[in-house]
Amino acid sequence: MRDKLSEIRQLGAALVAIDPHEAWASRSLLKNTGLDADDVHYPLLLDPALTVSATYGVAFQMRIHVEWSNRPTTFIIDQDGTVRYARRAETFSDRPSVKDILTELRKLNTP
Amino acid sequence: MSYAVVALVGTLTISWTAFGHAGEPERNPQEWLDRFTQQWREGDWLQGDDSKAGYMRPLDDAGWQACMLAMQGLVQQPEDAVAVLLKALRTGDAPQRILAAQTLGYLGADVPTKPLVEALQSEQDPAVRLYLVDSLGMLGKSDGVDWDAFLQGEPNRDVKRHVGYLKERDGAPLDDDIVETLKRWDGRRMDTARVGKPAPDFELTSMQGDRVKLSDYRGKQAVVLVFIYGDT
Repeated sequence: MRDKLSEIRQLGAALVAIDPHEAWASRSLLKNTGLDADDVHYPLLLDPALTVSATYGVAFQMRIHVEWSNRPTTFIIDQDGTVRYARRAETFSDRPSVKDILTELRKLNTP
Repeated sequence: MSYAVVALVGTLTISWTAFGHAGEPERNPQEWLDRFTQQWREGDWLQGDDSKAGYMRPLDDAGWQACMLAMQGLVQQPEDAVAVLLKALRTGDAPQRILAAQTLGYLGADVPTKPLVEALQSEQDPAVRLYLVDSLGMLGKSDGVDWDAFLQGEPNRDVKRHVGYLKERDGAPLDDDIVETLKRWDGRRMDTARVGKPAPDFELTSMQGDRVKLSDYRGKQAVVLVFIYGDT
């Protein structure tokens, strides 16, 4: 996700991630990938009550082995606060590419 | 003309009752469990391929909403919910036991540890065991269990992994704010993010410790909002 970051920023957009874990678990998962909190250069927001996940319609929709969790989903919200793009994963690896995201962001910048 | 208006109002009322979360009536914990069970059985949530690592519910399967509302309804009534959920844990079918195991972790001081530990030792379904491990951690009541002995008899990799998480949390119970946030959430906000509509606003704490509101970005920057699962 860090690779996406600079290109997204070049287009004037901010990357914000939401993870459903409690803070200690989120840090621990991050550590497993060889990073710590200081290595994350975008807001990684925590939603352990799942209320934002449910508001955005992603809660309890993906089963990772035996655990139910959030469906991987990407939204693009324009400067006016309007949702302009939503991609809800239908399989585990179904995520937009960096190119897909950049294409959508360029559309926002085109009047 | 007036007939048409009456008919239209009638239609709106019916659809609101059928789908509107604002129309959710007051329910006691047993009624929440019954409603969840009914919706679970009506849906086809368990027909996924268990062998796949990441199974997705179909996009049009709204059954997950029943899970969210039941959890919230139960957490809002902790004193009465505990007995109902402990019974479900002993005698319910798998979906009820999963919901019970998952929800008990949010009920704090009212939950006795012993029935959870007993259920953990006799439970056949790994998903229930996984959520029981999580809930014992959330309750801050994991010290009465010989986890090394448990791990030796535990065949499921994910359950073992969650025992690892439990050790990492080192006895810290679930933060009260998390429970309060779940209790206070307005169910009418469920699944309201739609292309072309205003993004539902929210405020969350980041792993870095900052409070961040989506509306902080308004007028300044577009936002790429990504829901992840620990996989940065």
